[in-house]
Formats: sequence, structure tokens, C-alpha cells
Amino acid sequence: MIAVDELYHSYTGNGTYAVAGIGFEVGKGEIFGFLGPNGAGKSTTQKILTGLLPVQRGRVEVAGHDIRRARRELFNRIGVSFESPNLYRKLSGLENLAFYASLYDVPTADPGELLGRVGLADAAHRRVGAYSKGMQQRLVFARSLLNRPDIWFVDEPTAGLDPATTQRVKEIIREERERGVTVFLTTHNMLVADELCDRVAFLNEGRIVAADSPRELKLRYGKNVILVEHRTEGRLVREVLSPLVEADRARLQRLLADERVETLHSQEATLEEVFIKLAGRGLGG
Amino acid sequence: MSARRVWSIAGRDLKSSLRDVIAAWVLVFPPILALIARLLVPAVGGATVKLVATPGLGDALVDRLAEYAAVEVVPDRPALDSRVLGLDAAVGLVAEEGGYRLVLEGNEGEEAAALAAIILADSLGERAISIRSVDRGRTGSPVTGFVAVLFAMMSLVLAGSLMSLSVVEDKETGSIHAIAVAPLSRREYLAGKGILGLGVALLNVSLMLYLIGAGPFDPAKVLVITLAGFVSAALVGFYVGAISDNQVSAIAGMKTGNLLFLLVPLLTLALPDRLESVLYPLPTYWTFLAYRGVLVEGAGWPEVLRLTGINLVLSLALVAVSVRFLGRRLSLRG
Amino acid sequence: MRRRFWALAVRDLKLVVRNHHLTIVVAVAVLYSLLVRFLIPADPGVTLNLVVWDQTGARALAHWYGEAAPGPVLLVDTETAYAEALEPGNRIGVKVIGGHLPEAVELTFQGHESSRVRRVLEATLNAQVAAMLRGEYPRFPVTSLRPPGGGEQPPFNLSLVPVLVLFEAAMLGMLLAGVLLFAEKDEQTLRAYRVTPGGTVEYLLARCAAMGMLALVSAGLLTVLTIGPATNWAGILPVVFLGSLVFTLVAMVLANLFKNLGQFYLPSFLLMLALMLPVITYFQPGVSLPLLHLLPTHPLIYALREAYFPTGSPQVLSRAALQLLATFAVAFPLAVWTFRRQLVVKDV
Repeated sequence: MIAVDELYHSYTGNGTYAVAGIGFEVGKGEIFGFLGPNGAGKSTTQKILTGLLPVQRGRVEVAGHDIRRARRELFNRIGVSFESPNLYRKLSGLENLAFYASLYDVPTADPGELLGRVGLADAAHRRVGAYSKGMQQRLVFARSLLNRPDIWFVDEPTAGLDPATTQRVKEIIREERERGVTVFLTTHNMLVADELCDRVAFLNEGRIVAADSPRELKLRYGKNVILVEHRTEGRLVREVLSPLVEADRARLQRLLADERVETLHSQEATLEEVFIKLAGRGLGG
Repeated sequence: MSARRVWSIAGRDLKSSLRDVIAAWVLVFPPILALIARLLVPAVGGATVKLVATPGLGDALVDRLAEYAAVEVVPDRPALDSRVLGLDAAVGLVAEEGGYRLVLEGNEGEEAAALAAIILADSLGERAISIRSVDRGRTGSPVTGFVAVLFAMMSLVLAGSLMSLSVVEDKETGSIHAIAVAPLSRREYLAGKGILGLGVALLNVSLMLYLIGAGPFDPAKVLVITLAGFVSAALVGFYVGAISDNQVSAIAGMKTGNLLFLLVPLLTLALPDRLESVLYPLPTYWTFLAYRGVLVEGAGWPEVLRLTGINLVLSLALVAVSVRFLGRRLSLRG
Repeated sequence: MRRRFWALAVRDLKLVVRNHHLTIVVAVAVLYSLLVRFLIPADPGVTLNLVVWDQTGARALAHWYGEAAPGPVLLVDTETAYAEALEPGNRIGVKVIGGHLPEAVELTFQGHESSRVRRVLEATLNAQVAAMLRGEYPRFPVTSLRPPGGGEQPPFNLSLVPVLVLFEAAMLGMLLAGVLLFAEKDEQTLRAYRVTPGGTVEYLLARCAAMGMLALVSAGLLTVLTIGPATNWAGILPVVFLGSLVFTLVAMVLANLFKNLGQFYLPSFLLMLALMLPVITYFQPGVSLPLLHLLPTHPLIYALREAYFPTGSPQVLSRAALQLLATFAVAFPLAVWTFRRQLVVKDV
């Protein structure tokens, strides 16, 4: 459904690239996670995929359309849930959805029903300006489903939501996948990605550093991690050590020799740890 | 009240509005206006009537007519007719056997036709009486002076607008909250904004008056009037800033506030004398009279001080009335 | 396309109402109407500002000025009174010299008057003296290209109505369309619009239409409250609507050059002032500024005058309408192009 090849994008035009030659494919009905820290090029890529930024170099196909020549037909088939709550603050939640619904040429979902699906039925007639951040987030999320998209771009869907709402959002994403929707999920929340995605791509400094299913990635880059708990100077200390790393091996041997070790577990790495290993930095910044 | 904090507010505002090019526009705007006015004022002040002629009138007569009025020469009679039928009022002159004929569209006022006849007659014939002209040697044109007055008033309005936008920007970006948690009083905050506005007002008034070529006037008097006039302009600016939460509503407020501010001089001109008292309570009326006094009528210090005094008393009374409302709306902390 | 157009136009109108812009439009129209109806006089009085000192025995010119001259003329009798009366910078002195009858006239100018103004004043004075002495006034045969139908000068206060309708109604979109666009940029709703099938064409058309409707409301109010309900609506409303389309388009293109509303405000205000310049020739027909004829406001102000105060040249209206339509037709594709480019390049 999505095919990207040798995609580059520069905001400055002076040889520094926000996106530097990436390529990937997303199949129908797949949830594809696009992961990386802030500034890695996630948003830029998503903007190019949705036609918000021009293709400077490379090839992008979405639902069989070359995005350079994207026309109505394509926009009738995609849905975009933005990270920022870009809504008409002076219109009510229902008015916002009804307005956007009227822009599509294809049969659209009932706005009232969608509001119910994201738990905003009671606030349907209130002006969006009076919504909390989380409510606005949910409204943006609901709006992206108006045209029952085949390809759904979802940007940080759970940012700033409480645990119960996060759960509901994740359920909706799964439901849509059941319907055969292709989901392009952009996030830096590794737990959400791990839980939902069939495949993920790690983006760092404009390049894809790895792309595979979360399980494969964890097995490939994260196996043989050992969690050691030992008592040093009266305090309980936890350390994650990899037998693949020379220094870690030496450290483990020293700890065992000193008989300070209290527990020892082999542990599967988290996606975050895999990323740190691949990119040499965490996702927080 | 700490001068250091006031200055740092003013400096930060200056920086952010420079970066936003707004301040640049506020500074570029008056010179452009002044230059346009400088080009237009002679055309307006020196205008009499517009004439259209065909070559049949003869070069000599056309040259003589051009001493009285703007003359356009068109190739032939059909061209003359179509020019006379044009949107603006122009009177056609053609030569015919035994004399001349006026070509009118039919909807001009009587005045234009009569004036054209007088000009034609005067450029053709002898005078009934000898007329000579003397000159008092005053070069400052009242039209220029008057435009200068309007521009000075506009400079005050612009300064007020800049202050409104700056307050609203603080609200929009939430930096007003960041300021609120710093050891800064509301008075210091407002004084900082005011200093920037006053600087812009003074700079603009000076630029405008210089560029438009306003006749000889006493800069000290203009300074005094501008300082007093700025009080009410700043008040309008703060009001708009206080009631607007974003730029959209600020524009609405600025439109209304600026309208009320600039309407006053226009009303002063349009209103018959007996109704002028309607405007007495408005400080801008007195600002206008004072500017007009200095820039058009060459008023002396006593007159300037009287008008400025009334202006200040009214402005400060308005400030006193507004303090509570503005204080509440522009409160830095809750 | 049509459904999207209406949805967009209705959304614009809703936003205009909820942001209180309609309230302001109505309030301003009412304010202006009150001023025109009750404060601004029908006859502003012509300010000739002549100071006349007739030294002749018969004082014929003084009598003539005292009775027949339009506007205020100051009659004085002494040298000092003459000098004092000429102190204000806009006065001109007329000293009539002679025995019983006038033999010569000395005009005292301030110094700033243009040579044309001086010559015309001399000519006028000469004509008056000639009329007084010999009873003859300059007369030439006249051809009137149109039957002098209507053509009565409207009262001064009502002559302001076309100007107010131009500025407040037809040019309403100049600022407001920009305001709406920046509100959308700010809320980033434009970005959400760009990932729907909605295009630039219907977006711009809808904005123009919404501003046009608002312009009609404003023009209607101003007209009813000043001139009254019985007027040439068929002439006024189309011209206002078409003018509004053109100015809205101008605003939308202009707005794309700026980052935020604060930046947009002053340049657009400057442009509005520049576009209002043809009003100078509307009030001062003698002013010759051919460059101003190129502005779209030039045909518009005369069309409005013709609609409100017909002089028997209805083609002024149809020609203005055609001109505005042509301007719109040329400007629209240009606007669509720049708009698309700006949106994509700047990723709004």
C-alpha cells in the first residue's frame, strides 16, 4: 500500500538532510510502526507521504498513486490523525467532524457515532476551545476515521492520554486493522509500538537503521541480555549486561567472583534497548 | 518599580517584534505613506479643473490653458468625447468656426463648467481690470500641514497597535505566565510595553513630519503634544490587548479602537461648529487641535499648553477610570 | 465540488459570527450611518477663505462678495485688519484699488499656492469684475454628450455613502479574509484540510463567497440606514459583491507572504489606504492623477456613485462590473497557483 524508495528531504537546501535516502514498503492490512527520537525525520516523512510536503528526491507511492501527482481519489482513501490538536476551536466537536465529513466524495462515518467511539458523545455540542487537551487529541483521532480510510496515518495517538483512553485508542487501531486498514503509526512510544505493530522501522538522523517485526528485532539485537542484581556497599544495584560485549563479560565475571550477586535473569531486550544499541542514543530527546 | 526590569521588558519586546518584522513594518510604513503623500499633495493642493483639448485648439492656446489647469491633448474629437465620458470629471474644449465650444458629459457640477469657461475666456482675452499678485512668502502648505496632522495621529495609533499586538502575543504564546512567575510587577510589565510604544510613536512622528516636508514648526511643541497624545493612544492599545486573547480578536479590537481614534479629526472637520462640543470629552480631539495648531496654524506656546493640558487631564481621568478594569484583565498572576 | 464549496463557505460564516466579526461589521455600519445621518452636515460650506478689502468708493466688489459669494468671505476696512486676517495659512487677500470704481486688484497669496491656483483665482476675479462692470459673464456654446438627466449633486453627508460602502463593505475581505486564514494557520486546521480531497479552488472560492455575503450585509445595512430602502439595489449589490471577490483574493495572496497576523496587518492596511486613493478624485474632480485609474477601486467608486446618485450613465455600472469580473478571472488562477505553492513550500 505504501512504497518509498530513496527518499531525501532537505529544509535548508545546503546538503543537510532531514530525511536521507530512506526506503521501505508497507503491505495491506499491516500496522507499520515508524519509530525514532524527536528530530529523526519521522514527521517529515509522514508529511511527504500525506502530500503535505513536496517530494524533492526519490519515489513515494501511496495506494498505487505517485504522491507527486496525488489527486482527490487518493485523499478520499487516506486518513491522517495529527499529533497536534488542529481543530476549529470556535466550532463544537460535532461541527468539526460534520465539516470535514462534507469534504469527502466517499460515504463517511456518522460523526455522532465516531464521537461515541472515542468517548466524546457527551461533549459533542461543546466548543472545542473548551475541551481538555486529551479530548482534543481524541477528536483529531476520530476525525481521521471519517472517510473510513484504507490507509491510515496515525501520529503519536496516545501522547498525553490517560491509561484508560490509551487502551481504547489501541483497541480502535486493532479494530481498524481487522477491517483491513493499513496503519502507518508514527511514535516514539516503544511500548505502544511493540504492542501494536506488525513491523517497525527505526529512524535515526534521517536514516532507517533497522526495520523488521518487533520480535525479530528484539531477538536479533537483544538476545542474551542478563539482568544482574548485586549488593554493593550495602545497596541493591541492578545492571543489564550483554554477553556479547567484552566489557560486560568481564564485569559479570568480576561480580560472580566477588560473590556479590543476589539474582541473575536472562532477559529479552525492550525495543527501546534495541534502539539505543542501534542508534547509540535514547528516544527521550 | 525597577528600571532594569522595565527596560528588559521593552528590550525583549523590541527584539521579538523586530524578529517578527512587525517593528520593521511599523517603521517602514510611515515613510512609504509620507512619500506617497508628498507626491500626491501638490497634485491635490494645486488642482483646479481637468481640461481635454484637441490639436485644433492650437499649441499656443493649449500652453496658455496649461497655466491654469491640467490639460490633456487627445488626437481628435471622438477621442475627446470618449475622454469626457470617462469616469472622472473632465471638460472638453474644441475650436469651431468663429470660436470655441465646451464639451461636457452632462453630469458635472455647474462649477466645473463655469470654471472652464472662465479659464478659457481669461486665456483668450483682455482683462477687465489690472490684477497683480503679491506673496507673503509662506511656503508651508496647509494641505501638507493637514496631512502631517493626520499622519502624526496615525503614528500614535500605530504605536498603540504595536502595544496591543505585543500584549496579545504574550498571551498567545503563554509567555505572560512565564513572566508572571518572575519577580515582576504588572506596573513594570506595562511600563516596559509603554516605553517601546512611546519610542515608536516619537520616531514615527519625526519621520513622518520630516518626510512629508511639513512646513517650519517648533519640534519642542510637537514633542509635548506627542507625549500627551500618546497617553490616550497607549490606553486604547492596552484596552485592545486586555480584551483580546488572540491575534484574531486583537485585529477586531484594533479596527474598532483605531477607527474611534482616527474618526475624531475627520469629524472635527465635517461637523458644523455648533456640534463640535460633542467631541470635547475625547482626548484625541484635543491632540488633533494641538497638532493642527502647530502644524497648520502656527500656534504659540500658550495655546499648545492649554490644549495639551486639557488633553492630559482628560487622558489621565480615563486612565484612572480604566485602571481597575485593565488591571484585572492584564493581571499577571491569577 | 459544490458540496465542499458550501461546507467551506458555511464554516467561514460560522467562524466570522463566533469570532464576533459580524457584530463588529454591524456595529461599524450602524456607527457610520448614525454619523452620516445625524452628525455630518448636508452642506459642509465652501471654505473660500477670502479676505476682501475694497478701498473704492462704491465698494461694489465688497457688496458683491457680501451678498452673492459662496462661503465665508471676510470683509475688512483697514490695513492692520487686512494683515491680521491673512495670518492663518489658508487665507487669500483681495485688495480692490481705485477711486469710485475699481481700477486694479492686488491679490495677496501666502506663498504655498500653486501657480495654477493663482491664475485661476485671477481669472475668476477678472470674470467677476467684468460681470459687475459690464454685466457680461464668459459664455461659450456647450455640447452635452448625455442628456442632462438627474445629475443633481447629492448632499455632502450622503455623498460619503459610496466611500463608506467601498471601504467597509467591498473591501471588508481585505483584512477579514487574511484574519480567517491566519486563524486557520494558527490552529493548523488548514493542514487537516490539505489531507482531504478538498482543493484550493473551492477553498478560495468559498472564502470569496463568504466575504462577498458579508459585504452584502454591510452594504445593505449602510444603505438602508443612510439612503433608505428605496434605491438601486440591482446596481449596488452586484458591484459590491464583485469588488469583494477581488479584494478577498488580493488579501489571500498577500496573506501568504506573511508568517502571522501581526505581520500581515500593517502591509494590508497600507494597501487598503493605497486602494482608497481614487477617493481623492471622487471628492476633488479637478485632481489629475491618471495612475490612480489603474486601481480596481477607481471604477468601483464611480460605479457606486452612479448606483446611489444616478447621472444617467448606467453603463458606468456595467463597465465596472465587467472590469471587476475580468480582474477576478485573471487574478483567480494566479491566486490558486501562488496559494498552492505557498502552502506546499511553507507546509502550512
